Formats: sequence, structure tokens, C-alpha cells
Amino acid sequence: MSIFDEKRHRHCKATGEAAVWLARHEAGTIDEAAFETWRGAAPGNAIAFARALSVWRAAAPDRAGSGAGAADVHAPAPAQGLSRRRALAAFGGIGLAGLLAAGGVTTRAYAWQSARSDVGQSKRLILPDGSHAMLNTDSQLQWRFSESERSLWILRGEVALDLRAGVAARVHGDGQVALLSAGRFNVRIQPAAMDVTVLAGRALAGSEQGTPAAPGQVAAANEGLLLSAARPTVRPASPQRMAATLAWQQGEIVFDNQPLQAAVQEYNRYLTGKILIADPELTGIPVGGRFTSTDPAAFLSALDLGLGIRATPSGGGFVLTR
Amino acid sequence: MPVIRPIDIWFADEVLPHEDRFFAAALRICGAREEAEDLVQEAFARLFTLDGWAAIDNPRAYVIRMLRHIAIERFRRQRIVDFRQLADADHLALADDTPDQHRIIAGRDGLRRVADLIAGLPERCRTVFVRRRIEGESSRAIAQDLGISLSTYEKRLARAIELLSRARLDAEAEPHGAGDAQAQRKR
Repeated sequence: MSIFDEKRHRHCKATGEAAVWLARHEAGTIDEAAFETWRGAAPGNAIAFARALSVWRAAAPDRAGSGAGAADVHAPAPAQGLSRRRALAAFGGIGLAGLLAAGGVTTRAYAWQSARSDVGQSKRLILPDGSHAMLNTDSQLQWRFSESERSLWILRGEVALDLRAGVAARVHGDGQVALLSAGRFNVRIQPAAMDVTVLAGRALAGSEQGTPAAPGQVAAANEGLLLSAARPTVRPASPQRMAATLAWQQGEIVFDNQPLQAAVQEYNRYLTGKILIADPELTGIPVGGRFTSTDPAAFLSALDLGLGIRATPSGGGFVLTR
Repeated sequence: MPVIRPIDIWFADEVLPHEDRFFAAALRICGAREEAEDLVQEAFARLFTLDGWAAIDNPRAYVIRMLRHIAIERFRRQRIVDFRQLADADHLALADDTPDQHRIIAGRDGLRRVADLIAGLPERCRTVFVRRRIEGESSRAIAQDLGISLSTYEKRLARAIELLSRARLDAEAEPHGAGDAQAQRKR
């Protein structure tokens, strides 16, 4: 980060110097040779000077006057952006029609109910108490709700939960149990572990017998709780990590400097035609980016564009070679 | 060489007003804020080395294409793919060829913001700035009337310009989230 701090410092310095030169120009006291030396010394100086000039020019009476009337017209635009973003944040912004088409409203009480999604599919559900669940690709969820119980069983895959207030929800997965308060969570079944990310609310490490959690085994918002055969661990989740964890709910997939092998594995969760890395030398190359989860075309073309890695269609999937 | 060259005026009037768009596009390409700023700065620097700048008929689309090319060069050099939808940047440039309502309004809004920013200047700086720039009085007359030396006048005017440049930079950098959301919505 230090190179960026240094750049920012240089930026600031150039902005101040450019203002002095422009003021001298206006006052008629400018030493043109000294100015040219300064402007030629760094590309940033010429930019800073033009920047000062643009403020100067934008302040002209005729131009400033014409802008006043536009103020009200512009006002709704940011509000629109905000409401859209808020809608996305509020559990995918699902319309009622979408809900009915996707999974239906569940009303039967006290019996195991189940829903599953195929590879490349996602599915939204309303649980008996009005809580929401969303299944990522290739996932299976069972649940049983009553006055005194909220039990969920994730047999495979990944599920986002938006839980209403009520008794603690017991979420089972891979032999582990997490107790969830009201809030928003992302639960993913990893090989030999259950990974709970908390957006809002609390997640406690539970056990099949229902013994209380030990300190350090409670995850709050922006933390992750990893449950495996070993001792449960709580770790903070960075904004980047949170964004990557939640991207699937928008139909996207995010890589943040992951090895190509891991990125391809992640992509393959969503694809019926899988991607294979033919050249072992390629597996460790770090990749990053945001892509559409169900269509690898942009990902593959970015690999080609950025790294010269070729994707050859093969057996319904793709083979990657140099 | 004149102090204010044609390229400076072109850059100030045709390129800089779109800076928030460039930043949003750069952010979409590389993902990190500092890198995005750096990418835009490099594109600007390269613009100043162009001989044929006057022939660029759509500076906004041109700069967005530049951002993409610079990003690709950097990825190749680093052997790291970090191309937030690089492929998508093509569509970004195409979509940018026609001015839409939002951008026209945003441009006018930028001017309104400058007026607001001037109003927010410290009084002594504002006075010299307004009398020189808005009312068009001569520098010497302003200094004389205020009973200050030309050098003090110059410092106050410089301070005003610096504060305005900085405030506008901050204003442009801040709502980049909204600009980004705008770009996302277009997809």
C-alpha cells in the first residue's frame, strides 16, 4: 500500500503547485520557463494543471448559471441506485411470482420437508415461519418447523438463510450443528466441514446433544464460523471475502487472487460441462475477477486475453491449455 | 509554448468532466480503488503524449478503451489475471458512445457542484476568486481595492483554486459506488 500513499502524496503536492501556477498566470506574474520546466517534470503535473484549469473554466458565469436548473432533475438518480442496491441486499429482491415459481410456500408443519437444486440452478423458498432460504447450485435442504423447533439439514451444497425471530434454528450439516439466531447467514458444506458466514445475527457452535457453546465459538456479523471434526473456529470475514461469499446470490462468482485450480473447481460447481486444466503448470496461476456463474464464456475469454490460456471445447466441457 | 495550450483546454472541457465514469470503468476492470485511480491517472498521462488528440471524436469512449488496453498490458506484465470482466469492457466502451440522459444531467450537475464549492470557500479566497473569475476584474485592480500586495492576492487565488480542485476530486471519488451501480445496471 505504501506506493499508493506515496502516489497520493505526489498527487496532493501537484494539485497545490498547479493552483499556484494558474494563479500566477492569472495575476500576470508567471515565469513561463520555470512553469514549463515544472509541467514537463512529471506527467502528473500536466494533469494537475489541466485539472486546476477545468475548475477555473467550469466556474465561468455562463456555464455555472446553466447548471442550476438541473439540480432537481438529477436528485432522483442516486436514490434510485440506492433503492436498487438495498433491494439486492434484501435477500435477492425476489418478486412474489418468482417465489411461487421457484419453490412454493410451505405450510405443512412438523414433518421433514425437502427441496433441492440441480447443477447451475438456484432456488428460493419460504420456510413455514416466514423465514427465507435460497439454495445455491447442486444443493439439498431439509427442514422441520414447529412452535418449539426450527431444524434445518443441509445435505449438500450451499444455502443462504434469512431467519425471522423465533427459537434458535439448528442447522445440521456434515455431522456438525450450528445454532442460529434471527439474522442472515450463508452456510456452505465443504469437504469435511460446515462453513457458516454471518451477515447479521449470531451463530453458535452447537452439538448433537445441545451442549452450550464455549467462548470463542460464537460468530457475530461479518465473521465466519467453521465447524469440523476439529475445534470450531471463528474468524473475521473481510469485505472482499463477504462479497465473494455472497456473489452467488446475484448469479455471480468472484475470485480474489485464487490459484487457477481453485477457481476452476469453484466454477465447476455451477457447470454441467466441466472445465479441466490439462497443463499442470497452469494450476498455480493466481486469478481474480467477477463473472457470471452459469456461463463461463467471459471467464474463459479473460483467461485467453490476460494469460494466453486457450479453452478447447471437449465432451461438453472445456480443456485449458497454454 | 503558451501556458494554457489547446490540449489543456480540450482535456479540461472534454475529458475531465467524465472522470467519475472513467473511475467507475477502471474499478470494474481492476476491482481495487487505488489501482483504479492509478489506471485513470496513467490513461490521462498518455493522453498528454498524443499528437492526434484533436482527431479523437469521442474522448470519453476513447479513454475507456485506453483503460482497458493499459489494464491488459499490466496483466500481461504481472502474469496475474485480475480482469473484472475485461471482456465486458468492450460493451462498456460501446455503451458509452452515445450520451444518455444520466450523463448529460451529471455533467450539468458537476457545474452546479462547482458553484456550491465556490460558496464554501473561506471568505478571503472566495472574494478574489469571484471577483477575478466570475466578475472578470483585473488582478491589479482587485489587489489594490483590497489593499493587499499582488503576491498576497496571488496566494489567496492559488489557495481558492487548490481547494476547489481538491473538493472536486473528492466529490468525484466519493460517489463512485453510485457510478459503479449505474454501470452494473446497464449490463
